[in-house]
Amino acid sequence: MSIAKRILVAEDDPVTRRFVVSLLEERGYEVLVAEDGEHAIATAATAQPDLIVSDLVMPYRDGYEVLRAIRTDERLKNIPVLILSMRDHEEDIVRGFEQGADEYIVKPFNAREFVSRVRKLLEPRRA
Amino acid sequence: MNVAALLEDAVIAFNVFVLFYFLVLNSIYLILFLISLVEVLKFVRKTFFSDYRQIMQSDMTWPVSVLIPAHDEERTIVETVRSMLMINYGEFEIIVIDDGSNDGTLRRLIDAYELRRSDRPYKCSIATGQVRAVYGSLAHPNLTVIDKEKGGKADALNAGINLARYPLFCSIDGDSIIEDNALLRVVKPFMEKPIETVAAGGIVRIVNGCDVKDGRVTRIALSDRALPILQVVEYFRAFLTGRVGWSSLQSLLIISGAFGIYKKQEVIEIGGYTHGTDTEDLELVVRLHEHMRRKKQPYRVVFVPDPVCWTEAPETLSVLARQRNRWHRGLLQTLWQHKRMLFNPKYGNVGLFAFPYFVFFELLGPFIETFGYLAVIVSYLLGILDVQFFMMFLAVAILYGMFLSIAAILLEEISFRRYPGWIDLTKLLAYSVIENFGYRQILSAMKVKAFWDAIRRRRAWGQMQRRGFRPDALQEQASR
Amino acid sequence: MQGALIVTVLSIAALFLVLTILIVVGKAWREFRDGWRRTRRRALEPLVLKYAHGSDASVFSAMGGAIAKRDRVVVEMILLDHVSRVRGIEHERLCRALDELGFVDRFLANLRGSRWFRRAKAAENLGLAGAKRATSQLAAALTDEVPEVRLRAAKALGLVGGRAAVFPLVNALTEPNRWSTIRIADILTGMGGEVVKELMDAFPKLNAHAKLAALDILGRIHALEAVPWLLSRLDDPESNVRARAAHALGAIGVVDAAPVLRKALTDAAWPVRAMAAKALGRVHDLEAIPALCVALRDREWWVRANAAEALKLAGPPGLEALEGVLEDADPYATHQACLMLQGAGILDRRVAELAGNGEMRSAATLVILRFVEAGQVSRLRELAATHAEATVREALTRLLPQETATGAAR
Repeated sequence: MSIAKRILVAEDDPVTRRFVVSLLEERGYEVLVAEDGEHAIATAATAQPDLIVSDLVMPYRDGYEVLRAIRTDERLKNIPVLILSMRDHEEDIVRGFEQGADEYIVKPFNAREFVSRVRKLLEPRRA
Repeated sequence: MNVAALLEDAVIAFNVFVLFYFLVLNSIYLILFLISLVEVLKFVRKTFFSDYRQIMQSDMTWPVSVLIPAHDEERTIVETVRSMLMINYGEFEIIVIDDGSNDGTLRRLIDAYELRRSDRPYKCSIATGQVRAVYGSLAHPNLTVIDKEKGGKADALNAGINLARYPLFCSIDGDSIIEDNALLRVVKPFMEKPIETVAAGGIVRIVNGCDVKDGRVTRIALSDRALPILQVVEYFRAFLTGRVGWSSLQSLLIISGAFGIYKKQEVIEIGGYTHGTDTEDLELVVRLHEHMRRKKQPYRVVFVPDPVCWTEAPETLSVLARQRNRWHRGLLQTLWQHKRMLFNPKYGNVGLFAFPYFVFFELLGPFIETFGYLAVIVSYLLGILDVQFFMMFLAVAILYGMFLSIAAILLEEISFRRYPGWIDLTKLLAYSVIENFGYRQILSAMKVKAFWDAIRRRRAWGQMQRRGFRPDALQEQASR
Repeated sequence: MQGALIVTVLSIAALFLVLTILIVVGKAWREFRDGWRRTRRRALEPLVLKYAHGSDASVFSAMGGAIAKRDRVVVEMILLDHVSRVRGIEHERLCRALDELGFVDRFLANLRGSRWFRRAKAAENLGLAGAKRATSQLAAALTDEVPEVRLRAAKALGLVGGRAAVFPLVNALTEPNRWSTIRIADILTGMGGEVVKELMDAFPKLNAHAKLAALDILGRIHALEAVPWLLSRLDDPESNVRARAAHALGAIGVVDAAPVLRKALTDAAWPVRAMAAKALGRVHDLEAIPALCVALRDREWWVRANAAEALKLAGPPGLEALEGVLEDADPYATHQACLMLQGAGILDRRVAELAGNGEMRSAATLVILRFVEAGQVSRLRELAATHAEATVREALTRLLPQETATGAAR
């Protein structure tokens, strides 16, 4: 009887965006879309999603700034964030986690694995 | 003999000469256009979408040091640096050189990026004015700011080169907007031929009329005013048909100061930028050619038509005049300093084709054009010339030119198509006709004046004073 | 004259008109075609993605039967766009769809085409489609006369994978004239573990340049099974090979390599010493700390810098050792130590300790004086002016020498 979980997808590449959105909608999630960092922060603030999937390299505000904005906002700081990015260097991954990401998946990515991680992040936190 | 008759003969001879001048000039443009046509098609076909992602993720991609010289730019410097920090590229560093600004440029940077003094050691490969301090940022480990005393743009760039860590450096004007993927694209020639490529430049497009938000161009459109549109058409011809052609002939003499990428080692070897001209970017590339030819090593200077740098074009004639005046003075100074390259086979294609072209058509051409027009019109009015010759002259000077302007637009339409709207296309077509009826002639007159100015000033005093690095833009703001 | 004039004017006017028509018609046609494709894509893409995300056996059932001929071009675009962005099961399903719908066959046919850009595009598409059955044709395309086609074929083989693809690529490493070693190395790296054995086997036959590339590749793909082999490369007579092998071992980061790397710190050739130092930094071997401190006095800057970095990366024991090096007589060594300690935030910490009790304060003072001796004062001056605590600022100012007239950084 659960309400569909709401996921915000922040991704500037339209093809990847459509792919991820259809993937998540197929699994029954409600998906909101943002095409750049600034739009993502604004949408997160109004819609309060249950999970944010974000790219790193985006126009206007990059993924790190989105993370920072989420983590410093009282209402949003507990939303799990999954980074989905092309950047695969060690420094980027470490920095992503340091800035508050809960997961970091490198593109090209494994879709089924991605979905499992999303599901896990949406589980209520084990006490 | 009758003196009047002799004079008449001389005038007619001159007119015929001018006719042939235009014929040759426009035919050179035609050849360049045809070469460019082939090259652009090849380029578009060679560029597949996966390339850029691979360049970005590959470990083997050379890292780049981006140099941003700045003087009195407190209003925009923080935004500029922010948008550069977010470009699409693997490993790169940003070096901002504050060239003795009198306003809050440095303070704004220190506050915005939490800069701290750094003891980073560096080799003074090129002598520069005094560097007062070097700053680093903990939050952005790839950002460095140099605080130095005022020395001019060339000096600032040299200081940046000294501090640059990476084998390639990219010089960028503070007020230009570089597209996200521009660095990936302009670096591609270096990845393809790492040993031969010494420098590469991208295309400069005019941002007037476009929507700009947060340092990015969100919508591409033409301005409503005539002057910027005329310049758009002019830039199409200069870049798409001109530079592509010269680049494929291995004789590219100009890389835009607004956006160029160079191999640091070679530039250090030739001593970096010099202060002797008003256009240090042009002078650097010419000197690079000279140096590489003397070394007798295979090398290439490449123009990549794809990566875009958006700059603001003058919107009034007075600002335009000042800009072109500076460019032409710089051209004269550069060509004069390197005059040994003229027709010198030791310098290959550059010495035999590009250099003479620049001397006889770009530098001296405006004289022939301006006086040619005057002479022909006066002759016709005096009745010395017959109608048919006059018509022929008009056809060769103007119609032929119009045809080439439209050819440049065709080139744009089959390749990059940045202006998607029909209205913009119509404007472009219309203005490519209008360009030849007045705009080009005015430009020629400006260049004649510039020549005159250059000779006069050289006798009067040494270095040109430049207010900031964008004297044209500063004037522009005042006149808006 | 009149004839020439008329001909000139007419021909220019005609060309003019032709160009304008070309531009306008071309643009109209393109807009129409793109618009149509966009509409079809909006309709078809969800179906394709539904198939990819789902578990239907065949793409035809997801698409509702056979695909209209006009739609094929759009479906091809959709499949190729998505197949490059995803891995795993969905990737396989998309590849299967490309095959089932006959696109792979079409690519194979185009690979034999007469125009170079068609062959190049076909090669690229075959790579994207992961078409294993195209491997032999792609390998043959490695000898195409047009470089662009050869390159696309190489990339395609990299994407397709499998031993049959690795072999011709490693062979390409032995042909430095035809191939940019960097490109092939990139492609091989992307193929991951399956190239390891081939590289090790082919190594003796490779030329100098290619050997270095091979070692780099093994490092970049973290080939654990190659570690013993790499360790024995450290005995190679060529110093470049030894250096790269050390670098690769560092990239793989196995602590078993530490003893051999420690030995390499005393190699005669400085690139080897430099790479050994760098590798020890990645490997986090605490036993190497004394040897690294010795390397700080090396003649070559690169060795010193890498050794210092390695000590910093070793964590607290390494940083302790660096503070010890501050006492050293060798100015280069102390300089490097200062840089690393400053970069690791130790200098800031010591400065803060100036506010503490007697013992802590004197220990901190000693450290700061060493920095002053080494000439590394910029940060200290900055802190002397900006530190939050007045006692710290006072103490620091007393320790610093008088500001010189220019106050310039070195």
